[in-house]
Amino acid sequence: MKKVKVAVIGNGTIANSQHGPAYLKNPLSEIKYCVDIIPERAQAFREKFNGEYAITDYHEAIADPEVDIVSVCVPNYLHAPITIDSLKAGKHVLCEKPAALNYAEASAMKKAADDNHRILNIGVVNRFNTAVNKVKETIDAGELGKLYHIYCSFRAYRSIPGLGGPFTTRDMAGGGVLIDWGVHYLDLILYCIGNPAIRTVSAATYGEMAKDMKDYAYTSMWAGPPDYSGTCDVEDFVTGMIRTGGPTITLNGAWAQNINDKATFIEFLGDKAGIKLQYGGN
Amino acid sequence: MWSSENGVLYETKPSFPMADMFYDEIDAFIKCSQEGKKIRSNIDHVIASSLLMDKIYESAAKEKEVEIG
Repeated sequence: MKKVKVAVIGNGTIANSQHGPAYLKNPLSEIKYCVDIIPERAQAFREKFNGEYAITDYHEAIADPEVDIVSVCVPNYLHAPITIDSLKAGKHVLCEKPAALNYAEASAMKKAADDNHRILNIGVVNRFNTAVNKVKETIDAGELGKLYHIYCSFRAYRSIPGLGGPFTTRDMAGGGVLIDWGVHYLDLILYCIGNPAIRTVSAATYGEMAKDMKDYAYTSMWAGPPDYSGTCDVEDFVTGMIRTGGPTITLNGAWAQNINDKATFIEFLGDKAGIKLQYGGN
Repeated sequence: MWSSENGVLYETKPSFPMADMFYDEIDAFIKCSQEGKKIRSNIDHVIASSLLMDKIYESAAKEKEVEIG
């Protein structure tokens, strides 16, 4: 296989912690463009991961015929426009999760991939997690028997990210803890159980813990510091029940709650056996 | 993992080496783009969760159960 030239668009946290190191280590890739609207961030990324150019306009990168693939690592509201532009420019795209702000945007992204005969992957990294795939293999082998219910918890004590910034602004993120953390849990559940048809959904969301941002006390804030002049209009708690053509699914998620307990796991209940998957581990 | 057989309860905790999922995700992307193959992280397989999240938000806003036709 030939070596591919890469453009990494958005040089923030996920690009630095995952995409950059993986492209640098991979013998089949080299980073040509490091793109960020903050020039210093693009330059730092270029130096760290052996990029050729640090630029601020992604259009320049996707116009280069040498670029084969693009990583989209920008805030959620920019996923669809940058991904669609890149696909139309003939690039294959890996877009970070969630796919987009909503299903309509995700559908438009899929259409752009289909129309242009390009690959569009989403950063659902748990589909490459060893433990998740062990669970899937166990379910597929019938070892749980009749799988009748799945419960997932993605709850933390005080962990709202970047209060007042893109993560907590609905127009920019599309939602709160559900779209930020829940997307991983729902995706890996659907993956493990073979994407059964969804029949009904009943859910509730709450945004209680940071109603007054200045009063919100926290133990950690990644993507911070807080911007008290910004907005927090997304949910910090979600609960729901989903009926599918297969098992039912219930969920509870909290970026923040008044319970000092981190509970991040998925339970798969079958009539022969059950599995508890600790998120991110085994 | 918990199960039972012949009236006996079993509890097992498997142990296995964990791969670097982030490296594997990027590696699979590079290879599938060169081969033109749709793999498990393709939008075709992932878009269902976008629809599901839309419906969760819709149900919450309407304060009632919603159907997915």
